Amino acid sequence: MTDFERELGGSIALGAETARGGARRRMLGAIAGIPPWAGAIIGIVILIAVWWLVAATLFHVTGSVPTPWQVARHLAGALVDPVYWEAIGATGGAALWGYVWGNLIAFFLAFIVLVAPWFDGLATQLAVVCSCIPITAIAPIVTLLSHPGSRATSIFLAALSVIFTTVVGSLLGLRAASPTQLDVISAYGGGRLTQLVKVRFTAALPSIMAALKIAAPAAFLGSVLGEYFLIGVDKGLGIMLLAAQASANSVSLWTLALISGGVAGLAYWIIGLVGRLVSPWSTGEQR
Amino acid sequence: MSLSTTMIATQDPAGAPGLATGINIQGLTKTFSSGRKTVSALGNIELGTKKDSFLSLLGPSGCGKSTILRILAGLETPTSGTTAINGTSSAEVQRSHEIGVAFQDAALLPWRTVYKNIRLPLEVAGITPEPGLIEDLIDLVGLTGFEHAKPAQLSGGMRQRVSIARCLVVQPSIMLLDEPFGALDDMTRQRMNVELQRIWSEKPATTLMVTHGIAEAIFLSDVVAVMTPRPGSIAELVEIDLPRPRTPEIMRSPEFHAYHDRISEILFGAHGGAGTDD
Repeated sequence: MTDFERELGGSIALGAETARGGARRRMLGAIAGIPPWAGAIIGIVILIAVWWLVAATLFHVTGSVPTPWQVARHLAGALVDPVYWEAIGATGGAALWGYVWGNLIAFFLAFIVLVAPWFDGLATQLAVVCSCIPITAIAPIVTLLSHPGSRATSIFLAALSVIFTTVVGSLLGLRAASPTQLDVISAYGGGRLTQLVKVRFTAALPSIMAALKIAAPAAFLGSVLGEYFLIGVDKGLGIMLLAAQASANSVSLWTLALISGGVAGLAYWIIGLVGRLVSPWSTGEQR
Repeated sequence: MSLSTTMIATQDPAGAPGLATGINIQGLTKTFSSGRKTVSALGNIELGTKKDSFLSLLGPSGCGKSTILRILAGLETPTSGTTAINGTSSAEVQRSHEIGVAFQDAALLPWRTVYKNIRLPLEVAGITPEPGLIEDLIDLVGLTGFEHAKPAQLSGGMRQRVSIARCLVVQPSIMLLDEPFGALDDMTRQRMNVELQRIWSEKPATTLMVTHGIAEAIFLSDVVAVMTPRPGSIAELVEIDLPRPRTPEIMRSPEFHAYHDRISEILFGAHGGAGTDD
């Protein structure tokens, strides 16, 4: 394992760790003496105050940082404007396809490692390559290879963005079962397949779900970025960002940034929710 | 070193097959190799016990007691030598589903309930449990009412009881226990030993327990095999001739203390104070 990979593995493990942190959150809240949601609200209020201050002082003349009020008004208009919803749908759809393909490829790599453990080094190398290739360099190549009007580049970048985390998370998960748990299966006459079915697959779920959770916003980011290179496509958040930049429409840019962040955050939250449903034991919740 | 033979165990199983109807270990050695280094974990173990007797392996950590247990359970292969329990080899024993194991780590599956954790060995063996079997076991280990609890909701002692019930669910004629209560606090451990003694007395099985608690070994066993440090070998067999069923009071009797002193002497005295953990 490379240091880089270990680091990322660590951060995924951390995700799995914090996923069981109901008690931990309560503890942190207890230290500050306030409930956790109050902390979140205070954070948002401070953020908006600083934003407003910066907009009203430093960028008062150029207007490249609009005030929260301007953005909020624009956002309210955008949320009832079908153009924005079509853009979210187009970009989100490409992200979803990329997410599915990328994860399928990652699971396939992890599966090969499962069958042939010597493939471990090669699989992680491939995953590292996927995360190291500058996607802005590979995007034009994909665009040249695909038909005008297709969203191939968006889907490709989204897929590329998720492979690494899912490979590392899956490999981490397949090592999650304790040797004693596997010994118990062997002692009662179970083979490798029984160990897999009864223990290792289920033991792998928490870290796989943690990786999938991190991968969801990454896929969306890849999809938005991919639209910068698309030819013959006129819908998508990335394309609207390009247009807003060209016309120096800062309010629109900030609105689009907020929408993108919102969609990515929503994806993260939903996958996290699914993760808690499929592996409730990792949260320490009593069910 | 003289070979000791008692009424129910022997260090010469080939010469006294009548005393090796339970555990039968002949010429057993095990070397582990990592890179160019090879470490000899076990040096020529000869050991036999009668069927349905309770044997404890007692010795300093690293003396290979767990390795013997793992070889008997078919989890490791011996470098040389043969092992058999109740007349069948370890591989056959594994396939016959007559073996129950429990480790220091309860190793329960956190996503399964107590009931389903206990059922696991039967699922692996492809056996449908007789109606009431698992309920009876839960009752036997005193966990009635916790059938549908997850391991995370149980205390360490309760988890270890589940692990004992899981060991018993195959109705084993052989039990292999690797420091089953080693991770528990002293009070819980003593209570668990009393329970294990009761359970074992109700349904005897050829049992091998690995431990480094002297009192625990005397309390539970018919015979204690005291081992020397690496490469592990058996220093002496001590037959424990205390009446059953045994109660905690017996631990305050002079006979019990005599056994304790004798085993301590073998462990710490005769071998220049071989290091022990506790």
